[in-house]
Amino acid sequence: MRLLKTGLVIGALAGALLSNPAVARAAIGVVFVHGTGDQSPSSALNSYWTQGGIDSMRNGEPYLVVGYPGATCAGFSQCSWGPIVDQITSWMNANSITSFTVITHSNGSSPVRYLLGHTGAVSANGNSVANVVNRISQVIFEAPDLAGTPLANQVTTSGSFLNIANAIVEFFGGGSYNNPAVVQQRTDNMSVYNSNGTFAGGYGATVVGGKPISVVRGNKVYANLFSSDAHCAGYLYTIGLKAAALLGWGSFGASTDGFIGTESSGYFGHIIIDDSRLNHNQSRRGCHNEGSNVTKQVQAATVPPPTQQTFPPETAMPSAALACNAYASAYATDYITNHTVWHYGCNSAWLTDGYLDPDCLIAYGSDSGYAIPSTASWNPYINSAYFPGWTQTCPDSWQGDGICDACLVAKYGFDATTGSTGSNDCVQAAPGGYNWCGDLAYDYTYGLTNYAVVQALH
Amino acid sequence: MTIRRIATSAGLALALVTVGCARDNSTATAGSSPGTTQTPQETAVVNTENAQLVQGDVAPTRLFRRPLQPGEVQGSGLVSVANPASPKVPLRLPTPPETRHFKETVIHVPAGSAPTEVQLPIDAPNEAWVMFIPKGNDAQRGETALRSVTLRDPLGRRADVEAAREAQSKLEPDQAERLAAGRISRPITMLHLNNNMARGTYAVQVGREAAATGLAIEVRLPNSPIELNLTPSAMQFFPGQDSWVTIGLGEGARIDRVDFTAVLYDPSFRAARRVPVVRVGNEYRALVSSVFTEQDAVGTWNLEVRATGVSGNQRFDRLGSTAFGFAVPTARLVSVGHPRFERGPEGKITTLAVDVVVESEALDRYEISGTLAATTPDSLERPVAEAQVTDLLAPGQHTLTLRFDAGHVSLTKLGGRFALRGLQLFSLGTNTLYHRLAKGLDIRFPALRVADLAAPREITPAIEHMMRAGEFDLTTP
Repeated sequence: MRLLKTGLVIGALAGALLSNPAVARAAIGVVFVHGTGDQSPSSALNSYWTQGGIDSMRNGEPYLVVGYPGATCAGFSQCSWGPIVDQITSWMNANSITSFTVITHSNGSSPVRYLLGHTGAVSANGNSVANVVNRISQVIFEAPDLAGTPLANQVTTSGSFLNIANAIVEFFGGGSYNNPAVVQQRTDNMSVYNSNGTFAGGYGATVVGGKPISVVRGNKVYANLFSSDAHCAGYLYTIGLKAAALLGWGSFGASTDGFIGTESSGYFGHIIIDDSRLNHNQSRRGCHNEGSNVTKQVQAATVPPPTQQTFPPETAMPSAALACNAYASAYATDYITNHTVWHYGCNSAWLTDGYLDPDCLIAYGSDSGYAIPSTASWNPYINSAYFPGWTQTCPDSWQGDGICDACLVAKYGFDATTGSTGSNDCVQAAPGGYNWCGDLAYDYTYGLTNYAVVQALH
Repeated sequence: MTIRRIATSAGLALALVTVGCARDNSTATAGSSPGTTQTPQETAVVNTENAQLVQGDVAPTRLFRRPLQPGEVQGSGLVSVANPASPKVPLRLPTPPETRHFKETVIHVPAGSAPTEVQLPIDAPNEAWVMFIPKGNDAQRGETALRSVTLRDPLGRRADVEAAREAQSKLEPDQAERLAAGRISRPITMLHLNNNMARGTYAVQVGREAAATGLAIEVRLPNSPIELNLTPSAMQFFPGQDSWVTIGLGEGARIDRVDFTAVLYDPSFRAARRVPVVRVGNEYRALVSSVFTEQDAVGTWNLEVRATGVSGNQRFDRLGSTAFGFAVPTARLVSVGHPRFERGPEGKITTLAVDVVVESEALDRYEISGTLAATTPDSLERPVAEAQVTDLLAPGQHTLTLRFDAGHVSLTKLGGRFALRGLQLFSLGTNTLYHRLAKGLDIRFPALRVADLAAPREITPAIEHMMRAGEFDLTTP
């Protein structure tokens, strides 16, 4: 379990394997291009897509996750598509890739549309767009922003945009959402780019730049609090996108995945997935059988029409608080450090004492007027100061690792791997059994609060 | 930047025809492929100055010089690409400048303000929305700020409590869903008005916390007859060309008085300058060209227009914006011609080629694109192949050749007299469109039969996908 916590090591190893030409000699592959946000290849893999999301879609093929300045550079800028070309060129050469599928999410469609339309361009490092585009076999746009989003108009016009949830801001590249990529995504600007040839692909087209285009999109935000479908990929994102949908910012009065209206995501391309339980966040994580269908598309197998697609039944999400005895205060032993720790717990009186008690958030869902899930600044579980013994502060890679992490519950409302069949760390053990639980606790050896892993007996 | 007028004299036009049949050394690689023979076909060369412009066309009247920008990397070498196309979707003319409609406004209370009251003219309360949006990105502070904001109707009564309840039921009609949505910590206040609520000027009382935090108040009035409409006169403007944005207020609205404020935002979305608005006949125009010069940044600009006034003794306030391209062209298409077939050893057509003459005033990497179209029995034009050629061109005239792959055309099983369509010149140095002729000067290739076409040189994975998807099969839906 300790090793499972060191996601960075695993990620670095995977990166090394992928970049080693002696290891990977495949001729075909899959390239993943993220949406708005400045990402490095590793942050794009670990934070934007997640390994689980990638693996659910790539059909076992060699893959490349590119990272590029997708917020500070608009999709048509050389500083945006240039690094994509450079990274793909290196990967193709190192791995003798002769053809590959491109999968994009959100505004990742824009730099790829630029490449498809301007094959004579070259990157700042001198790599030819044509050499890359020549080897593209197909493009799968996931939740593409093909005609802009009213959210972009909203944030740039009103000059204000309070966090609906951090999730929403993340899709605009973090806190600095008034950036070139967001301005590019204004609906009026996209109308110009779609008209003047900046971005390839006209309304209704199914082939762009000689490449077949498939579109995966959601058309509703499903936010049943106790549904696995809603929890897939993070309930916080779901409620944030639900709020955006309710507020009409993700396409007022039209169907939307919470961020991109279907009039934008369906501007062109073959729509292979059109799902009412696939919000903007979930479409990059293979939720609700998306991974299976994208895999079929990657392998050129038949994808059932959207109206004939089937989904695994949704399941109820059990209470993490019960699994981890979050109500109870007690001494315990930290499995990681073997130190004695004090498990804070929460009694009902603490709910109204004016202090924000971490375990009260978990046990009761709220404390001092604040509710979970939340990544807001008041959430102690995302404060790195409370993780002195750890190199990471509650990364998503802790999902599904066998430890019910209170920090993930506070962030997302659950701790489980993506997909409704993914493992759920917070299923309460049977009487006589136990759960492993990660939680903030007072470490008597260190003399401070640390994130401890303790055994919760039942 | 110096300006060079495009000559329109008969002498130059004649010279251009000559150039259209020749090639300069810089583009020699764009010529015929080794091992092929050219079949002399029609050698007509059509000058772009004779072009009949259609919807969405862009044609510069002047060319400008442009120095390379520091750090600008353009690359060198000619790149000629041929792509297959799906005939399934008929060709469309480029999208015309769209008219954007607005029955809304946004009013700002800047951060750091003192407590204040904001007048909110609401001429059509039925189905109206009012949103209070705290500024900044501190959600905790925003929630606190919203508690100090109230809405009062024209009679001075609290209107926000009932309107908030209306909003809840409107946004989520399903009770179970509404309960679930109730857990959403709402970062903004959503208020929904109805037909029973008063028409007139509402008052938003902005308390100390909200005024200090800053507040944007958004109002949407979907049932108001007063609709701000904005329509650019073209999708793209060039310096020196008359260009404007037409402003309308809805045909059903009786407007007693109106004032406009129009502000241009540059491609970085920074407010750049005010634009005069004048009445021309029965419409208003924001005279954009009067404030543009060739020194301005190229790219996509936005015009934000606020209209305030009185209609039937009722004040109104509307805010909207639109976008358009601004380019300072350094090149143009001069002529197109010499459509011809190139044949392989077996006499089959391997390439359909056409020459395009470009005049450049500045070193840049220029891209020429075109689509080959067949006319099907349903009288629709359908794409059968695409071609693009790109090269770094110095000032002067150059001939580039669009080369369509006959093998790609053969996949569509369409023959006949193909037309050149969607001809355009794009600058990769500035990422702007300089010249577009959707009808491609109506250049047509001689008639051919499908049997005349060579088979594809290679069935690429992309073509395999297209075949599997039925992209070349017009007999299936």
